[in-house]
Amino acid sequence: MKDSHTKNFICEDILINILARLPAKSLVRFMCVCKSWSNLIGSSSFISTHLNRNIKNHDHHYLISHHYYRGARDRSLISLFSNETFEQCLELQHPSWTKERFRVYGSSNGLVCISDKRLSSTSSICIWNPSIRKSISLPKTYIPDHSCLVSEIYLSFCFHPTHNDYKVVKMLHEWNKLSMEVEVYSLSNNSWKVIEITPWLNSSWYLTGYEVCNGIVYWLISGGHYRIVSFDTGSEKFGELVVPEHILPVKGAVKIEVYKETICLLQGQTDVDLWVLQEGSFQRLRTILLPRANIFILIGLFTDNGLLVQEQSRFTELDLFDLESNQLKSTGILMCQRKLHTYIESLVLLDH
Amino acid sequence: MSRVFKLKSSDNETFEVEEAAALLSETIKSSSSTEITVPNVKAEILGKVVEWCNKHAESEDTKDQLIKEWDAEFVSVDQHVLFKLITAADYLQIKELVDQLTQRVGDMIKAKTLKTVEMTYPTFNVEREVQEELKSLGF
Repeated sequence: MKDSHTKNFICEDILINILARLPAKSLVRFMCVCKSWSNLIGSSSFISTHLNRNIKNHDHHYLISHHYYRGARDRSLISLFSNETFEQCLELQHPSWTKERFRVYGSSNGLVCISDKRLSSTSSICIWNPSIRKSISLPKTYIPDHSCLVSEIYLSFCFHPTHNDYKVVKMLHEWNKLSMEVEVYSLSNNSWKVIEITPWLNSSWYLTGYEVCNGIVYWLISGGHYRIVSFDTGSEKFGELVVPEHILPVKGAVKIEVYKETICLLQGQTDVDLWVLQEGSFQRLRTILLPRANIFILIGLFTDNGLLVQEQSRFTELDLFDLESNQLKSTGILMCQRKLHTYIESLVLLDH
Repeated sequence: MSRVFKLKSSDNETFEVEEAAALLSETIKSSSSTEITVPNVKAEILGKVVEWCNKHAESEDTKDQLIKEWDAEFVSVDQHVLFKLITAADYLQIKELVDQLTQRVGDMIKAKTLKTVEMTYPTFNVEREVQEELKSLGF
């Protein structure tokens, strides 16, 4: 639409600058304006520019939550909520899950990973961009069919920055075995790969939590004391992080989270200790003092300056505790699932 | 002792600008001369750009609420002026001004198309509608 003869000539750089600020839905519509806009918006460089701008400016970030309708708690849905006002922005529906709801297992760099609520080795897994409604169904995996009664499947999803690839990690834990089986899916190769099992776990254990950060999956394992097993989806190597002795299972549930792009641990119900990974070991950064009168369930950290909690007496209500002002406020969201993810709006997969 | 720069518009009007304000422009910064002609930009527009630079050079804290309000008013112009300002700011490579102006255009597009984006239309109408909306904004 640029016409050098009119006084409104705009060079491509400026046009990109303007378009990159717009929501994904608008951009998809603008692709039908003319051929040059369609080529521009659908180009991989513009898709990157648009995403990176959103990441850098904390723009178009949403909270994904499985929640109840206010006033109709027998009905639940999955929606995107504004990261700032917590108002519901979009209800998420996926064509492959019409009868049963899907569950979000990860969100990274503009895409989300969804699958069944109860994972089995035959579960469908999709990598999805809800803004542009583009979805990739993952091929079936190698891990043979195990009975669900003796094993648990854990799904993680992350973007690996150095490899510039999205990865899905499936971890299978058979209760009578000491080891874990790991399979990794790469979006750029569209294939699964079985990874050699880590040999370090030599006593019975169970998984209490997991998180992803910078392309690495971290599994928080308990078997008397806590351990963290890490898996780099790029190098495909396992590692282990030492959990400080002060963090004991008897003191209450521990959550593994991400704080300022590093792995951290949270423990406590009213006085919450925040331990951050610094130079290979966990250091206690601060103790978050939640309002004394209540007991809280920790849901997760939020944009590096908030802690999402649920007051035990106010079932399903999600509250946000601001770490700077030390104020607690209600988000208005009635959660029915305790894992929340942040989705960054993007055009990723538009050119897939 | 600060230098004084001379910016000349395409219709031959000259603006004298103090060093602090002038150096907000990367083009001026990397120029060997203190006299710069800005092609295709008339005095009315160049004058406004100079005004923006002067304002931002004298205010130390750009996060200040007052300057934010001033900036918001500055970009509240009709789209013809807006596009001309973008051309001038882009030529002079004044990044923050370009960002503010393009954000304004983005906001105008969002405001204009927001309603229609939410509603569902038969596909054959979408193209024409979106084209009309954008045309009215000067694209």
